[in-house]
Amino acid sequence: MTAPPALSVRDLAHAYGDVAALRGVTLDVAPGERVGLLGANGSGKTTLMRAVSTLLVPDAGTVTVGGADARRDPAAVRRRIGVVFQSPALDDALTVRESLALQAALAGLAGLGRGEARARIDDLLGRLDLADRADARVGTLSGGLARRADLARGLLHHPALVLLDEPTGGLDPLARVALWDTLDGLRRDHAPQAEGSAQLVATHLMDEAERCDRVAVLDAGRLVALGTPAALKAALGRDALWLDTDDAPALAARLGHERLDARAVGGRVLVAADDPGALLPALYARPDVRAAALKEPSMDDVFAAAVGGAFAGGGAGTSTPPGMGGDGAGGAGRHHDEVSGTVPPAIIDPLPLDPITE
Amino acid sequence: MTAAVLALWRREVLVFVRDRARFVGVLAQPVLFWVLFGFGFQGAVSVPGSDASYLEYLLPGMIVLAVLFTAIYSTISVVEDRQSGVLQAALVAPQPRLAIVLGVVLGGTTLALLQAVLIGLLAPFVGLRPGVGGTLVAVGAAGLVGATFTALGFGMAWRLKTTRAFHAVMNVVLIPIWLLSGAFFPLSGAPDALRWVMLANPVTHGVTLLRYGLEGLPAGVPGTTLGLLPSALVTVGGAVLAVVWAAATARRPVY
Repeated sequence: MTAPPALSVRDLAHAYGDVAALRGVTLDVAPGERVGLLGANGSGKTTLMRAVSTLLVPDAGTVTVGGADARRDPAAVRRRIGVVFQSPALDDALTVRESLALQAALAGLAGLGRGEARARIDDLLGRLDLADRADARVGTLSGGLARRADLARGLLHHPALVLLDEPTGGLDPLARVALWDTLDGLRRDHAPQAEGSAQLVATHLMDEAERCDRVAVLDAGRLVALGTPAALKAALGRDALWLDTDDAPALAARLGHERLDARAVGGRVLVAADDPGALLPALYARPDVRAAALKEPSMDDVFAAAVGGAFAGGGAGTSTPPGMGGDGAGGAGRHHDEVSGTVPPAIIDPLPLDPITE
Repeated sequence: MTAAVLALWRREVLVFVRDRARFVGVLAQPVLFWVLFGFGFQGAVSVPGSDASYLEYLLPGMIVLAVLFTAIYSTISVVEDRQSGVLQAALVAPQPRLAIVLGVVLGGTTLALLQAVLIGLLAPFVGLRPGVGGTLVAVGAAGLVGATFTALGFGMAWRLKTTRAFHAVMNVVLIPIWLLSGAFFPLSGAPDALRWVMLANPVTHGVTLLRYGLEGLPAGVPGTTLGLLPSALVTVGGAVLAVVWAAATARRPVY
């Protein structure tokens, strides 16, 4: 059986006036697969989401969902997708059940008959733990509950591809964890297709990226890295060497003069080397280094390296995890000014984000 | 598509009725205007070519005021829906955009008619007692004017990004249209230049039909030799054109 990919994006390009938002992005999502979309603000994530959801007709390239072309047959694409936007797309004045009944009508479920549509709504409300709030007005729900009600809206018609644009934005840490558990549960249980629904998730949060089968990193409208979280981290090398200091950019510059690949990241200095362990004693002995530690690469490191160009050679347009090769670390170093200059510190904070305490 | 139109229609009505402040405000304004202007001008003005009191003359005008404002303001939901994402959610559903246009227009028209009927209940108190036929003509006229202005509001709301812009346009456009429709003062007493402007105003013809329904006479545009047929054509044609324009506007992309 050769099912078409849940989503196939080919050479997608779009500009708003003179500003290029996407510069040729190619990406496949397999049936049942969850792909995370990482990128700073303005990297093209939202434009890509809008093109896939048929809200935007791109300048060039194609979007195909389950074999249906978004340009030629947007209605067929819309039947196959469920879209969850950055904030709940629900009317505050309607109850949860009324909102879902409206969605059922919009999704064309009326043909199933009133009883079947109602059964689906009840089933989904039960799965999402919303049954006891079904008749509450959306405006009275907490942020987390409103999100889950909105998720129900996006899933009601059993879409083969679910698009989630920063689905946990504005949620407190507990609500975020709960929403992700819900998404995981839906992938296990809520499987209209044999493979389950595919999910494309745009996010800023690295712990969310870790929960994806594969991660795609966008930077300035290009795909700069694509692979499983494990493969992307492995490509960065075994360990990264982090130095604590008083003035990270100054230390990075001094180490650079000493022919080391060092860059300032979030107030610390990251040193890339084939064998960072061998460098540790000498660096720790320096008067301008307060502490030095080896750490396994995290998704934050992957992101920082990707937008710094480390993956540029093999990343865009391939679906295999790109390797950094022998001089990959040098690639990251060449762009260290961009990395520390353009990426918001929150994203490249080298400490792994703990979902509870973040 | 029918189910989607009906669902959107129902939602427009539910949301408006549940927003009690908006509902009462839109209803209270014409009633307040009617009482203040009606009693205020009662002794000062007489209606040319009629022995009706100003209070009686003004009631159909107030029905039109309520219809215009309810119809237009119901479409503010389109601006709000775009800001909240509800509109985008509807746009990524497998429905033609015409379904959204029709749902919103039917919803706004229903709300406008509801307001028209509530104010129309005051008619017997000023001596207006339309029969069944007259009532049907009046309801038809109010419905067509309501559909016209809901559709115009929809087309405008689709292009406007904020509700502030919406309010500004409304006050600059809607009040003059109402003042020059024969709702506030009759054509027959107006200077020639103004009379031509009023004749060109499509709402004048809706008001003419409404007056004919509620008052029985005159069977035409006062101060002219026009009968009811031109007014009926303008009113029906205006509604059709407005809906077509709204449907064409809805093809534009939403950001």
